[in-house]
Amino acid sequence: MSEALLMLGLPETGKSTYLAALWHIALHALVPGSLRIERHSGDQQYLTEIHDDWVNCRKVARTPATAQETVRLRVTLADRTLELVIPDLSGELLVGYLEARQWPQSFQEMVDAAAATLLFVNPSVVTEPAWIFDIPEPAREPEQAAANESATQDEVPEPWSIRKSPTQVQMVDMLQLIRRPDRSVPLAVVVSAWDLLAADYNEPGEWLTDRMPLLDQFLACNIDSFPHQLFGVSAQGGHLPDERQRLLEMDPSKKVLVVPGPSRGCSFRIDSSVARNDITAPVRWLMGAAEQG
Amino acid sequence: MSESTNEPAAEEPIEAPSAPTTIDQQSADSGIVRLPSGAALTSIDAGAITARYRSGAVVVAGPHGSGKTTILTTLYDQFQMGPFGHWAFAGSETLLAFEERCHDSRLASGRSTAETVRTSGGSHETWLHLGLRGKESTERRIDLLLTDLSGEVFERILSKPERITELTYLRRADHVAVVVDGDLIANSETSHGVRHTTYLLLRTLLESKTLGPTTRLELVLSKLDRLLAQGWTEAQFANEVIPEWTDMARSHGVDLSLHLTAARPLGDEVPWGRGMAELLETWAGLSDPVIAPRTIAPVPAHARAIDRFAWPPREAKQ
Repeated sequence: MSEALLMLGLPETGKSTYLAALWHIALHALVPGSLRIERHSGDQQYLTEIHDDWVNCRKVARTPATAQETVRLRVTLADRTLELVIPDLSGELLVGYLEARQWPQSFQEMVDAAAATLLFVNPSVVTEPAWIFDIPEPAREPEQAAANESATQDEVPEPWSIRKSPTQVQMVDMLQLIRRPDRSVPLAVVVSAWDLLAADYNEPGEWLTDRMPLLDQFLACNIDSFPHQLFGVSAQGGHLPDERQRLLEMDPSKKVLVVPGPSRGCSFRIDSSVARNDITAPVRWLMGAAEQG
Repeated sequence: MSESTNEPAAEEPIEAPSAPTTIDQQSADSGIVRLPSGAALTSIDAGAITARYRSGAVVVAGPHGSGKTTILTTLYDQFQMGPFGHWAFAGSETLLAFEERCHDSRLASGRSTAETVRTSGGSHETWLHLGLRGKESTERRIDLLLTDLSGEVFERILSKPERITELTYLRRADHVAVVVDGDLIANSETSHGVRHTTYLLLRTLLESKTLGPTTRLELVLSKLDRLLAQGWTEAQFANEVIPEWTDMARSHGVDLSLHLTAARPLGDEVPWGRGMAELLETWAGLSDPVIAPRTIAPVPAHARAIDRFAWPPREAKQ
């Protein structure tokens, strides 16, 4: 049996790093309750390459801007065996689709086939909305006013494109485009680089409400289309290259951190009793939610 | 233009149908799937939304520069920071249209002063869409459709009142909000002119009987901060300016409701979005205007494309 998952995120949201860590944890079967790779087979070149970076605590190479790698993993969970088909689509390619308002038929087929979606957001690269009038106007002495006037005349405004919009707007746009009218699409929202937020937020739901409120509202209002659970995930375990030495001294599977957040629109939930390094938890939730229908 | 056919003027069409932009539009030959544009909607496109959800249509009227688009973009922008009033953001089929209109007030524009791009007079895409759900109970959903019309549309109507019949969506609107520029009211150079223009627009709306039987007519004062900054008080405005409009409206059997707003105030005296929450509650149907209008308009028998813009009665929808 094959289960197709869609993996979406804007550029630099940690999708490839997540995949590398997922492969490691599932392959080594070291974490109780996690997904397990049933058989190591097939073309694993892409996984091997990104895993090499991850396990050696180097920044995992970004998926090339024009590329889309598809990972196939034959996994078991309890008595269930299935093949996960996970396309690792370049975030840059995705933004290009949003901007051009078109995507290839092959991508549409992936959207149509996907039983569920992994959605990535990286707090360290989020662009929040910022308004001109939020910046205090400098005291306008006559000379300063003349200088400002001149500057205003000289400035060349940036034309609008979706790339200039806040990250939360781009993500809502993306979700509206993948929404299926005929069925719900379970969504595991992975807030990556969680190690950067762990001191300030108890769980990823708090962060989403605080820093991406438009996306948070959209998700809360559309649980029929997108039942979802949030996960704070640190796949690398720390900041690179600053903390590389510390991370190299750790067992690779121990550097991972997973914090389950709230689940909305689905009675199935992965709770906080999950092993703190079970990076397969978001995929396990998707499988459970998709099974529930 | 022939009134008997109610066709739009060829040189300045107010509306025209466009090809629907749905995800189903696929070019089999190129292997490309065209996506919804996210741009403002034509009346026909907007009709598809009203068929799905309980909806409210708001026609925002006023001369160019009066602040119509700024009111609409500020309403949308409030949701960037969290639920607003009693409502949470549930989506928008015109997300990109809102974003484009908001851009020049954002730092990402590279500007040093906030601007609002002037709405094009020739645009056929006139409706902005805002899907909302109750903040406390997400069971309650309403979809607001808001016109973003060029001020030139209304300026043409003032000089040729008969052209108001081209705006056939007026009779389908739940709210018609006439925007009055507070900055111009406060300025002695322009005050009498803008008061007269507002009087004329209200009178044209009422005398033409183009409003629907349940349409609510409202006055929205924009740029309240500029009015106050020039020494006016809200009470002074209500006592000295409003009566000439409300008395005239009342003579047509209509009581106007009034909203004082400062969508994007200058300085810190008036908070950003002043009056916008109350406006949203009114448009979303949570609060009634002071007195509902009683104008009853006959339904014209013509059959232009935009008349397919069907608004089933609210009670017939979820």
